[in-house]
Amino acid sequence: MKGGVDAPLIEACASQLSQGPGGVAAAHELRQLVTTNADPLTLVAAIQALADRFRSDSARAAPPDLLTWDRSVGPVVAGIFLDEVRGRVSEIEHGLLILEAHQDDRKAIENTFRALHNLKGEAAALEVSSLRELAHRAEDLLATARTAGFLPARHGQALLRAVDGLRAVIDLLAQDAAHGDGQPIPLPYSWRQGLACVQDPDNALLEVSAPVTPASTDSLPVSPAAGPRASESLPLPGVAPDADSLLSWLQLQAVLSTVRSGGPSAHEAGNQHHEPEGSEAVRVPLVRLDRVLALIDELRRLHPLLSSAVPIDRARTIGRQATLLDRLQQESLELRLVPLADIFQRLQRICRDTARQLGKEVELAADHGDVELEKAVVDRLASPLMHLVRNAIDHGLETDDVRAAVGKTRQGTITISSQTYGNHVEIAVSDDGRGLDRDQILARARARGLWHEGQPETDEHIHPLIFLPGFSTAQTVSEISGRGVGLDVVRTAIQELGGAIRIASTPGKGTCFTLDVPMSMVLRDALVVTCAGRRVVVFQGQVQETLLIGQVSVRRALGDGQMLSWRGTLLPLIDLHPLFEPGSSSRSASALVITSMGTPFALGVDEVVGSQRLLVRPLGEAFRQNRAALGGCLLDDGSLALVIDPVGAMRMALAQRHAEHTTATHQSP
Amino acid sequence: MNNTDHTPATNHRALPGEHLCFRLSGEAFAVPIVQVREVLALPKITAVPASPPFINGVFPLRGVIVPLINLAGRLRLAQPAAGREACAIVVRVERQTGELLLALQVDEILDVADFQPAALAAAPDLGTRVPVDLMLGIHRATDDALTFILDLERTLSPAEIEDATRTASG
Repeated sequence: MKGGVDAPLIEACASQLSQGPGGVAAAHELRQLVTTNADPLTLVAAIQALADRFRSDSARAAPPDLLTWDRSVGPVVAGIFLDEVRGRVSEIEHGLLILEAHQDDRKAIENTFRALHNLKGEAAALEVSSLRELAHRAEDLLATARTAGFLPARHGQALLRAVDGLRAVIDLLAQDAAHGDGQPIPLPYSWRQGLACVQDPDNALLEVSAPVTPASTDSLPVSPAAGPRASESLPLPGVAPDADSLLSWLQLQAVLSTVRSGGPSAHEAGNQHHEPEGSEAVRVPLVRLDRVLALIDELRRLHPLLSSAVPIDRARTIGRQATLLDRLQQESLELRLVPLADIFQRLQRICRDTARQLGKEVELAADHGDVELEKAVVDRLASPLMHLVRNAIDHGLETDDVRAAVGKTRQGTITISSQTYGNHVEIAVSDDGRGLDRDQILARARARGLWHEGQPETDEHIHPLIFLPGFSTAQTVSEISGRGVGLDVVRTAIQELGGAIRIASTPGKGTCFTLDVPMSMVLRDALVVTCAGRRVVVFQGQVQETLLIGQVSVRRALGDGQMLSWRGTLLPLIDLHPLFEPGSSSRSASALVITSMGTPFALGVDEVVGSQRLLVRPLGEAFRQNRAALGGCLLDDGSLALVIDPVGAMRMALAQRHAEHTTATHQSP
Repeated sequence: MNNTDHTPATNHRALPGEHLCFRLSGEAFAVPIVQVREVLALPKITAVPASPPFINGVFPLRGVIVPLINLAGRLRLAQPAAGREACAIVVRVERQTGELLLALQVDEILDVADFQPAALAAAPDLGTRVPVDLMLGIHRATDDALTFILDLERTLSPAEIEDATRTASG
């Protein structure tokens, strides 16, 4: 058979084709084409035309551009589904990134293929036709690599675009599940783009803003007219490895996948509403559940001993019970933990994409150190970490040429390490780039009025300036960062977690951002303080130092304002009392120094009772907008203490005082 | 025994069945008993700064933090000081987020009554400060005693609560 298009393959395709809706006619046409077209090139063109027509037919039959899914499932099922498919997408992406470096890693191909296949099945179960279709086509593309034993780079890139599309659909679905009102939602552009890429990886625009690399040697032929080329091609079963046959084969694959996926079914949109928190789900290893069950079992067996007649037995039982309950609490909290490795995988991808866009060579060395965090923390860390990685590539690392000129390796390195310290986790993102330019930062800060003259010009004072809103030292506004929003957003996100961010930089050597975040949003190290006759809780990570006001100098300022001198600087002292008792003017006896957020200040309270590890409970939806109260903690005596956010509380106390002053002015004009 | 389907055929939304009746500002109100989880003595509460005016504070109920709603304030009724009979009715309210527990501070629990369909009617708009759309309907007893049946979903809707909170903290 000349040209390599073999009849049995076409016949096999045709018979499969005829099983889909409207496929009989198409199959018939396909068979006709084979008998009437002797010339392979004409045949390929005809098949292409047939494929296009068929594709547009099926597109007309069911406009696939709306997100459809089975909204009738409960929030719990939706939550589990979202968690599962997100995990799948990460697996797929991980596999593809391995394949980018080692394109013949069979294990990676197999794993990725399996993950795609499972994703397809899961998507089908919830009738998420857009997800299923994209996964399906990606699977088809990967199937050729599976047969061939390697994944051509272009196909890998196409599949990564598909991953973006999958992720976008999942995010959209999560939003719909949380806040959807049953209105049809159009599918994201990246979904369509992903679909186009995997359907036609050779013609699709794979990297939108990437400079076009010199015709990559391993890409597959671009059009039939281009003819056979000295390139790696997929040896396909029953087909001679020549370009024309290959194209027709791929084309048929595309046609077939359209047929098999049958297009998205128009699903009746339910009116069910789902919510964000309630549908959150976590995958728990069985070992952990078993440990919890074992503890409960032991507690159960202790129970009868409590009624023992012997007092010493009772005492011992109660003691044992307390120990077991502590362990049970710890184990139960661990059920909420997920590995930090989940985000690190996504960071690899961000690093790769950003480096490509900027034309830099970057290696990301990430060591997650088996750190585990609560899912809520991991979720909120993702975007700040991505931002830091992008920032490091864009601003931190020099261009390859500059690096070579100063005697560094052309390839820049970004290192991410993480470690657990007690109840919190430290994550360091460092680069081996140019380091922060002190003079430039200072000049910029002066120009924008962000620098208070008279401050010592030390790194500790200058470096944190880059966290201020609106501060950006990028000399050119680039795609990646430098839009003037950036590090302040990162810092805000970390602070909202109750954590802190530090910066260290050596000129010419690099910059390191260290994030210190609590491992859990639920069990926290906290300071208990009293204020206006009640006990109040502040997260320990947010307090730099506690001071007895009698021992430091407090001076009056602007009438009834107060400033407190602390380590050579003057801090505004904001009394917390008005927050709880409007109009009160009691003198604070203690102060909490808060430096982790914006301008340092001191919060005046009555007394610092002590520090404790406490379980924080949400206040519920009635207080979602409350910026001062973050939650509640049950204290040992069974009373409920509010957890306050120092910054929110400070602002509210100030607002309270402003309001009082306004009324006072109005009353006595 | 009950479901929450509103019956559009009649012009009130109240469903016959058992209701918990209570006194508030000298008048009788009721809530469908299916929504009541328990009745408590007035709990010791923790005040939350910048709360909406009709939230008195919060208290822990078996590990869950429950807000205590000043129902009289919400309905814009006169508020007598809490007497010895005052208590909190813990109710379940359906939300997208699942079930939400809220406690209503009332002056006195009256009884549990089985409301017959014939005795139910739409709440009339009396031009009072009490928004009439917060009532599912009224129950008129044989002795002409009126009981207003509260629509808990509307009375305690998240939009209402969040708006009030935003105003209070802004």
